[in-house]
Amino acid sequence: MADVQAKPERSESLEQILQGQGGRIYNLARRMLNHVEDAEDLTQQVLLQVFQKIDQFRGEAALSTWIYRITVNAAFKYRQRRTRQPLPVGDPFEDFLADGRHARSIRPWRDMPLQGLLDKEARETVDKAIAELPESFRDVYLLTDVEKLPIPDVARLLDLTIPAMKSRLHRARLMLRKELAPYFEEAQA
Amino acid sequence: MMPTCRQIAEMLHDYLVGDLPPEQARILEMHLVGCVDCFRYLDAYRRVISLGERLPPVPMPEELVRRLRTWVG
Repeated sequence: MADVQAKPERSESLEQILQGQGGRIYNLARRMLNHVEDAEDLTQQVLLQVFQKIDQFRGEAALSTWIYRITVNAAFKYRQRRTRQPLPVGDPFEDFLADGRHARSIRPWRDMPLQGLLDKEARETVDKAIAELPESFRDVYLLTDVEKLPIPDVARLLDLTIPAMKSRLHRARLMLRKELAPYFEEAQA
Repeated sequence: MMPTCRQIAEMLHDYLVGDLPPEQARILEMHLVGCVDCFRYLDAYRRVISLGERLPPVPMPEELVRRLRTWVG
């Protein structure tokens, strides 16, 4: 964890920030970095930054958006410092033939509700598939589909044009469809 | 000219958010009526969006909460 010497004086406010925003920060850090210890370290760093900069927050955006920006920027810096090899992920369009047809017949996905909580196994399967996405695709999917931020907000957070962001989101979903198909497709008769 | 299945896959995001021009959306829907693979592909694509929306937050480990409480307290 970060140096405890960095603790600021206004501990009451920091406690409030921890209670109100700690979970949001940790959740995003954990999924963006895909590493428990790094996420814990980043959470403390971000809490400290939020505390130090809270007076600069002008209320032009939602507090949550402001917190997301600090967390995303901190996660980007964290990634630059580490040297983990990116995971190879298949091209979702390699499942199409040269003439544009599907290379294999597509099986339907198991019947499952479109709302409500996922069971533990499904949750772990989805989390693992997201973790295996290349980081730039993981980020757009996490912020848009999991955190439910509006597309223009995500484009600004990631410093992308809206068309580039939409294209990346679409590709991330196609990659996930491909990764998750073996688990969610109906068994062959 | 009817789009290929790959071209349909490329249009799914715009189709679902209503960004496709009406004529292109109509052509896509005509394709879906006649192509069970693309129909299932679209269904799975929708479910991928839904799975993300339904994913619960990763809770902070108790040990981290305790350490942070000590740090701020």
